[in-house]
Amino acid sequence: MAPRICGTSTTLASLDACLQTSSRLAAHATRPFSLTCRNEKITKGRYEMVKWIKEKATNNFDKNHPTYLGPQVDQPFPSNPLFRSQTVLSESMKNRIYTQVMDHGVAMKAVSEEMQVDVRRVAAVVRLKELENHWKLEGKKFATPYAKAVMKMLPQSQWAHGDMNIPHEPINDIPVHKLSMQQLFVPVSESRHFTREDAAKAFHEGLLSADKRSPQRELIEIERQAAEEGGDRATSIEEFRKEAQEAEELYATELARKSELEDARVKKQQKGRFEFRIKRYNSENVGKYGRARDATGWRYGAALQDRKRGMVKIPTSVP
Amino acid sequence: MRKPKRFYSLNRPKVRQSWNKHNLYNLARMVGDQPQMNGMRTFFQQKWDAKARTRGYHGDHIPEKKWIRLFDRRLRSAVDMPPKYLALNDGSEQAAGRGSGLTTNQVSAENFWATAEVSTTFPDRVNHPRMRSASRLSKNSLLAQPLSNMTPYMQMTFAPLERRLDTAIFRALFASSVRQARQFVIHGAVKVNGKKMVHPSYQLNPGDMFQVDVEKVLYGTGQQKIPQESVRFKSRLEKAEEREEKAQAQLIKENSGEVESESAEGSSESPEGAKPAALSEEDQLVLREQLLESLLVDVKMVLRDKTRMKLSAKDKSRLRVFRKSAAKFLSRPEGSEIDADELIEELQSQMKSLNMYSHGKERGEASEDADQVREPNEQQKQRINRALDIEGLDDKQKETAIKIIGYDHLKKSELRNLADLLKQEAENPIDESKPYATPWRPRPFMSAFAFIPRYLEVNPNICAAVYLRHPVARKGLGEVPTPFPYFTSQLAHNWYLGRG
Repeated sequence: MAPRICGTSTTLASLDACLQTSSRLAAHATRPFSLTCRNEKITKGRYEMVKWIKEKATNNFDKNHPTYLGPQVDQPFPSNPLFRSQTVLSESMKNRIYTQVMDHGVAMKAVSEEMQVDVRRVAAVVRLKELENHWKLEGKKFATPYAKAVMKMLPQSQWAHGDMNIPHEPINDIPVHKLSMQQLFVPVSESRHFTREDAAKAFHEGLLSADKRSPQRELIEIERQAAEEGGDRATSIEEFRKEAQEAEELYATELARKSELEDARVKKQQKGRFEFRIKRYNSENVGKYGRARDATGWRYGAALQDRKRGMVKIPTSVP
Repeated sequence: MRKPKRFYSLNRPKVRQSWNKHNLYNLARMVGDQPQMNGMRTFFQQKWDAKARTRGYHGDHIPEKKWIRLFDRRLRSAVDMPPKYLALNDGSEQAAGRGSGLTTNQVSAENFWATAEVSTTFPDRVNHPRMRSASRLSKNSLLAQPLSNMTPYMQMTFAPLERRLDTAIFRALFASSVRQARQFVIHGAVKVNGKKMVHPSYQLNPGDMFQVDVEKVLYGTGQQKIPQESVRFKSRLEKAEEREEKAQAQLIKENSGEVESESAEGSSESPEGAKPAALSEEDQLVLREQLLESLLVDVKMVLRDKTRMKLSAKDKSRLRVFRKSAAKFLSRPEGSEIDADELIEELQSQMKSLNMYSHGKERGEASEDADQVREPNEQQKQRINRALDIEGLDDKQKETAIKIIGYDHLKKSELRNLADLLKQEAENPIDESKPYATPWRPRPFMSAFAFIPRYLEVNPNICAAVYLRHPVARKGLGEVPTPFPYFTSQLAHNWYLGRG
C-alpha cells in the first residue's frame, strides 16, 4: 500500500519533492517518520461551527445567570418545548427548611405545606444539610467554587415569610395508577351523584380514590373546614401542624423502640479492634425447597446459583 | 460499550449526553428535530430513524439488548390535585350530564393550580437560523400545537434509563458527560447511601442518596488544564522571589559595608553563610523592616486602589504572590498551608514589634484619618522608595504607586479586609497538582446544559444528591430531559413496543 499523502495520490518521486520543498517540514522535525500532512483546509461544516461558536456562543452563554439555547428562556433543548429547566431551591430556602425541621422541630409535612415544597424534597434537603454539617465538623473541603458557579447558572425559587410566594412545586401530586389508565364506558343514570369514589370503584374494586391516595390527606380536611361556615383557616392550620408534629414524634419513638428491640437481640462482644455481633439464627429455615434467599450454608442438592452465567449480581438496593 | 468513531460528527450529527461544544452546535441547529413529513418514507423507516437518533442520546453506551430489557411500556405520570379542589369538589361536577344542550361548569383541578406556568410565547431570540424555520410555519409545528395541552407520555420512553446511577450523576451536573459519569463510578469515586458503588448500571431507588468525590466533580466540570498557565504563574512567582533575594543581598551588602568598612574587606567573599553573623542586631532589624515593607507594597496597591470595584486578575495574582512570600517571610516550611487568619495575626505581631503598625483607634475613622495626615518621616519615605525599587518600577510608575499607597502603615481595618480577601482567595486557590485548571472555572458553555430535573434534589456544596422519585409526565411537561420532539419519541416508543 502506498503511503498516505495529503491531496491526490502521488508517486514516490513527487513524495520526495514534497518532503524537500514542504515548508511544513520544520514542524515535522519532532516526528520525522510521520508522512501524514496536517489537513490545513477546514471543512465547510467545521468552518460554520467555528464561526457560530465565535459569533453566537462565546459571549452569549453567560456564566452568571441561566442561559439556555431556547427559543424560550427556560428551554434547554430547542426541539423539545415539553422539557423546561425548572427552578431549584435557593440556598436560603434550604437553610430555612433545615432550621425549621431540625432546630424548631416542625413536622416535615407542616414545612412542606408552609413553603409549598414536596415532603420528599423536604426530607432530602434535611438529609443533605445534615451530611454537609457532618463534613464541616470533619473539616472536609467543600466544592465551593463549583457550587457557586452552578447555583448562578440555575433558575432558583425564592421564598419570603409572609409574602405571596410562587409555589416551588405541587405538594399534592397524585401518581396516575396503572388501573386507571384504561378508557372505560360506564353508563350511569343522569340523576346519580357520581363522585371520584365511584369512578375509582368503576376502574377496579380495590382502587382508592384520589382523596385517599393523596400524600397530604390532612390538608383536604383543613380546606373543607375552612370552606364551611364559620370556619377559620388559620386555626385549623395550627391544629394540623400540631397533629403532624405529634404523628411524627410517635413515628420516631416507634422507630427508636424497634431499633432498640433489634439491638437487644444482638449480643455484642468487643475483642480488640473488632466487635463480634452474635445473633440467634435457625439454620433450618431454608424455605420449602431449600433455596430460600436468606438461607445460609451449603445444602445437598441445592447448588448455589451465583456463579452461573447471566446471573445478575448488581445490587438492587443499598440499605 | 465502546465510544463510536466520529462521536461528534458534523456531517451525520447525533445529539449526545455531553457538554461538548460540537454537541452545543448540533443542538442549536436543531439536529434533534424530526425531519419534515413528506410522505416519502415508510413507517418502518421513520421508526428506525427515530430509534437510531434517540438511542444516540439516551444510553448510547448501553448495548441495545440491555436497553430492550429495561424498556417499560408503562409510562408514569402524575396529576397535581390541589387539596382545595379536592375539598370543594367531590368529582361529580365532572360527571354531570352534558346531554340536551347542557353545558356543565368548567371546574377542574387545573383552576386551582398555583405553580408557575411554562412560557409559551415565541421570542425573537434564536440562536441558529434553522431554529426559526423549524419553530414556525412548519407542518410539524402545526401538529405539535395541541401537544402543549396534553400529558406528553411519549417523552417518558427513556425514563428507565434516568434511574441508572451514571445518568443520574450526569443529570445532577456532577460530570460533563454520561461516559465520564460512568468512569467516575467504575473508578470508585461514587457512593450510594454512604457505601461505595462500582456498578454504573445500578438502578437508583426513590430515596437513594449518591455522593461523588469532590475532586472528581471539580475535574469533570472544570475547565481543562492549560500547561502554559501554570508556567506563567510559576515564572511570576520566581521573578518576585528573585527580586527579593537581589534586594536582600544588596541591603545586606550596604549595611555590612557600613559595619565592615573598618574591618578587613576580604572577608565579604563568602556571601551566604557569613551574612547574618556579620550584621549587628540593629541592622538586622532595619533589614527585616525593609523586607516587610516591600512585602506589603503589593497588598497596599490592592487594598487602596479605589478606582477598581472588583479584584482584577492582576490583583489576585498579587495576593497569591503575597501569600507565598509572606509564608516565607514568617519562615514557614515550604509547601505548608497557612490559614488566612493565622497569617494576618502573625503579620500584625511582626509589624507591632517592628513599630510599623498604625494604632488606628477602634472607636471611629476620624482618629484613623488623623493618624494618616501626620507627616511621614524621612526613614519611612526612604523605605517605601526602596521597596518600589525592588518592584522594578521606573520613576513615573513609582510616583503613581506612591499616590495610591501613600506613606503610612497598614491600618487595622485594612488588615481585616486583607484577611477577607485572602480567605476568598483560599476558597479557589491555584494548585498545580490538580488535574484541572486552577483557580477552578466552569467548563465553557456549561450554562447551556445546566439544569436539574425535579426528580433529583442536589446539594452542590458536597456534591451529593438524592433521587426523590421516578420521573413523571404532567400536563405539558415531560420530566425526562430529552432533546427530541414528541413525534420522534413516539416513533421510538413504537419501535420498542415491537408491534408491526
